[in-house]
Amino acid sequence: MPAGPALSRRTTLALAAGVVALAGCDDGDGGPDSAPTGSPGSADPDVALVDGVLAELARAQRVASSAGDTDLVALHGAHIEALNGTPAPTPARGRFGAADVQQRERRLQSHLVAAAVDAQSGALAALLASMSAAVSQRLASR
Amino acid sequence: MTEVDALQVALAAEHAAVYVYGAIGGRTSRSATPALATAVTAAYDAHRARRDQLTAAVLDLDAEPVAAEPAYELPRLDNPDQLARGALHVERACARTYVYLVASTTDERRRSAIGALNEAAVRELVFRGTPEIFPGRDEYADR
Repeated sequence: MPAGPALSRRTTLALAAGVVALAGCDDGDGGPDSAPTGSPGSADPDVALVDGVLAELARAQRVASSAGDTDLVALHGAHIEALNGTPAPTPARGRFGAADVQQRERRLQSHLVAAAVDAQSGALAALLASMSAAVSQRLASR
Repeated sequence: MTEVDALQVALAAEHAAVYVYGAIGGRTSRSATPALATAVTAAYDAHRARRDQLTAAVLDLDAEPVAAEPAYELPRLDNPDQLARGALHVERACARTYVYLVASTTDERRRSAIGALNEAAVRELVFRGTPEIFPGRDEYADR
């Protein structure tokens, strides 16, 4: 669960960009690695992209939770938190099994890669790519 | 930081990875630790391929690819534990580099960097790494 007060999605994206900038990965000079500018009235395409990722994460978390996979539930919870989303409600146990989890994780991994490629913000792309790698690690270790 | 600069950073990392894996491979016994030897050979080949891919990407942007250093500092590589630890260190360093490259590229070059990040993260597990929450992102540090 997010520890602090809820932030707007735009603020989350800006913070994600700031983290990378502090790490020396983004000089903020307006290239492909720059954060969304968020000028008043402009539509930020990354907001819709993050919404789509959060929906996929929530689905994956529900399936993992139903299958009793606490490691994946925690992983997706951390990723949802990083995007300032809300964790999925806990479903009834036993509705999904290991094969469902595997299938859902593969779909999530593909979605994260596609979203990372499409992200306008380089910082957001890096975050989503890292999430995809985390899912790849879980898939490889099962 | 331009796209070319980021590609050059990744290329420099791959030069180092190829060098270190060469040293690790030379010290890994195929008879005593066959699984480790197989994993090291596969990783060596993968990093060579990424190095060549990055070299081509830099050339495509009309820049001069950064050259390999004559030598790189090696960790202690006296036993299988140290060999695996050395390989794990290489993979983690490459994962960090590819996160950086993802942030600095677009389209197909970004897709390639994402693929390289995923591969490095999975190879970490082969060398006794544990799954992370944010591979390649120290600032999130698996909180």
